[in-house]
Amino acid sequence: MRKLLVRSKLRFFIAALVLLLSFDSLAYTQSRVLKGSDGKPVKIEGSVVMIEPDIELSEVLAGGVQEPRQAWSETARRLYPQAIKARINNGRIKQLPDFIIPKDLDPGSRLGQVIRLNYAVSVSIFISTAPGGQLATKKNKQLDWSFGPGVEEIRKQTGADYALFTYVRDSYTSGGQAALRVIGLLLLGGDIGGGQLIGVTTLVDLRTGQVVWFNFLAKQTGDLRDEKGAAATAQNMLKGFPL
Amino acid sequence: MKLRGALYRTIFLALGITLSISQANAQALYEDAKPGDRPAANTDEGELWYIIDRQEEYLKKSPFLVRDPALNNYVRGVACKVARDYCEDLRIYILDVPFFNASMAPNGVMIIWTGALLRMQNESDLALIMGHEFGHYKKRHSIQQWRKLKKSSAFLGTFGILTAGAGAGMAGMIANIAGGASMAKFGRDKEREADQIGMGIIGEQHYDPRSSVRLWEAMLREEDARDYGKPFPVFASHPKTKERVEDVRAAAAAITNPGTELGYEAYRKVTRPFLQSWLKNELTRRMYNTSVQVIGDLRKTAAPNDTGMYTFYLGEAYRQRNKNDDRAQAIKLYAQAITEPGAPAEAWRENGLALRDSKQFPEAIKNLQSYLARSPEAQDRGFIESYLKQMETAR
Repeated sequence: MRKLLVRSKLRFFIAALVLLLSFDSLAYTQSRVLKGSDGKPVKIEGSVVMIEPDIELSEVLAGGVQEPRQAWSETARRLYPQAIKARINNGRIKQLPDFIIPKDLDPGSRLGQVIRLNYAVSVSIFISTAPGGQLATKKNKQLDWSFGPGVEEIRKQTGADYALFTYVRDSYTSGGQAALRVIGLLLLGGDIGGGQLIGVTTLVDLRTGQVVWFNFLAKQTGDLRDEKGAAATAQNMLKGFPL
Repeated sequence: MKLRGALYRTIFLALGITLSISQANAQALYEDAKPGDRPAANTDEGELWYIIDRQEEYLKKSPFLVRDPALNNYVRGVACKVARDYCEDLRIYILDVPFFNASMAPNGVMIIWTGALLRMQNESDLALIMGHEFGHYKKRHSIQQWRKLKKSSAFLGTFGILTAGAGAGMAGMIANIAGGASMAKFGRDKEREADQIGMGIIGEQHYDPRSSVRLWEAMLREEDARDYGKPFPVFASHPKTKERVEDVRAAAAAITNPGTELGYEAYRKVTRPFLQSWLKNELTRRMYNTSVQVIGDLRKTAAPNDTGMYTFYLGEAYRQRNKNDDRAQAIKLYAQAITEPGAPAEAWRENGLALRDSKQFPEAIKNLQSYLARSPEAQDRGFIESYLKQMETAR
């Protein structure tokens, strides 16, 4: 029964999210920061390494099918880390050169495990910090997740104190889909949606494995294909970053 | 089990867009792919290759990839026999998933699941399945499917909006089903074309076409044994297995001067080291009716040195299904397995435990001791030793 309730709450939340996003320019973020023993959000100090971000951009075609776009994705993979660097590289925090995941990475390696673990932990944090998705063991949606001491491997290879993981899927509307969207608005008084950005980012303390900060971003505007858009997206993605 | 569920989801997500539902624009004529071809960037075909290339990077790092060099070299060798001039364009990935499946992505990634390798019995079977998948590549079915999908869902998008606006939700639903059916129909044509290419290769390479018929007959028996999860005929992208058996039978009969090459020994040599783990994984599907059918089938034609292995896992399938007299069947099979060549150490354990249940302690002790002797590193050694102690003091 309780499970059902949670599920319906979560469903309501997702519906509300969709509705919220139908108003352009509004962004939904679900930012959480680790609290220290004094109950206050922690502030980070030291060096941060950005793990090669997982970014794919696509075009939403008239029928709603998303077609991947190589050139856009490559541009975004170049611009986004630059935009992040411009925002967090200040006096107290030093951003080290990005960590590129080796192409021939051994799947059994600790590094491969940590990268896959990041996907699992991120999804878990997203669900458990969303309205209606609270875990009994994590009251008040506190951020209390850890990767375990295995992250030491990234620290060894990079010398960084923190690792920043990034996942972005962004799509842009084609002419056909934009036309359908207008028809939808006129006929139904509702929005069938256009392009959509989903971003997930986590900051992990490489000395302990503790997740220090997490953010989930959903947004219908913004553009990772140019510098200005990348800077705006970086600003949204870093909302709540414990500088 | 959760891990396996996650795996299937990952695979379906990773390759979902490219596989299984082959669709084509009936009017458009597509030229065959040429060896060494790569579509230009900025075309829809180029973008499709790009995203699969990216996914291939994940695939290479997958913990489920079977990396054994001997098995990979052998499978690759058969792929090259099948694809000839296109050999360099194909990359073969064996994934440890216990279902019968193989798939072809547009960029030359061919995936074979170990469940398929378990069900095949020789190189001829492998060549047939790889020939089918290569047919998808050569005929560029992925891009045809992709273009069709883009078109048909645009149609549904428009139709859905209009009917929803008029309050006719049901009509929108029917449009969805119709759309699905038309995709499925084109899919079947493409599957059939791929089947024909596969059978053509069997003929050209002088493989024994009778084995192809046998493989599909076994698939039909497996499908019939299934008591749930039967494909809904409207949406099944592949031709019905029954039709397929008929098609393969006709194609086999049409081959003039059919070959007799089976490649039985070569296939068995590279797959034998995996046989036990594949049989174990087969049972993790928890679809015991089909497992009883599949393992029972394979056991009938097993190499003499492997019968004990199949007999034991057939017993395991019965034990785990545990309906009616399954337990008795399992016990009978365990007792038989230990008399046959190729039985795994576990056969002595299960036989010993069954004897212990029926209070035949001296025989039980002998079997359990034999298990520990055959499997000195057994993880359950502590349990077995405590059973042995109990029985010895009970005497």
